[in-house]
Amino acid sequence: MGGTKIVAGMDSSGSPRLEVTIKGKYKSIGAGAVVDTGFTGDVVIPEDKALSIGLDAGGAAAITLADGSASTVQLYLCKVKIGDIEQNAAAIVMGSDILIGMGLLSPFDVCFRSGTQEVIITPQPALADFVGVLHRLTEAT
Amino acid sequence: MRIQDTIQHGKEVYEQIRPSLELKYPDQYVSIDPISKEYFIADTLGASLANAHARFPEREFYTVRIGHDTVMEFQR
Repeated sequence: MGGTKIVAGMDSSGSPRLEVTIKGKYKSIGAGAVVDTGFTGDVVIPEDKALSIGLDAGGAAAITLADGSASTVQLYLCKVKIGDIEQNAAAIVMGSDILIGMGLLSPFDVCFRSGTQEVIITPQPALADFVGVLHRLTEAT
Repeated sequence: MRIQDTIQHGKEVYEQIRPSLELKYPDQYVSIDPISKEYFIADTLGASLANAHARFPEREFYTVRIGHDTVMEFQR
């Protein structure tokens, strides 16, 4: 069903975490990912997971690090599915945790509820309608 | 092509097309093939890179957010 609301929780460090599927060249993996609202890119994937799913090198780009300095990184291609919505994504391979950045959350409305320690992620209405139509067409064929 | 070569040659192409891109496509993403000089503009970084990769699967691209110094940020 298109437009499904996703309810994610907070991990022990208080970071919002949601379930995503990352699709590489060889296989897909489902994993818990930290939502990093300070990261404007798409996704960060640890090296061991990147190797297991297989990623095509896609390009190179300059990025701004947390201390304000600039660096260059290799970008890799993958697909990331959040709820019903699968998007092409540019991945950076580093670190020990999967991070989802705001670049992949632009089709969603994201609401942090501190009282219940929940993150509510809802596809934006126009996109939800479009996904719903696609699902109905798929079911009809 | 090494990553630094991709960036250097991609930047040279970008500087040639930068004025018109900044006028027509501010804040969008462009992935540039330094060899053919073809470029692929999209609303998202992933879409720009995927479109470029679909056209030239074996190549690597220099990717820029139009009008910005860097393509993404890690903020504190």
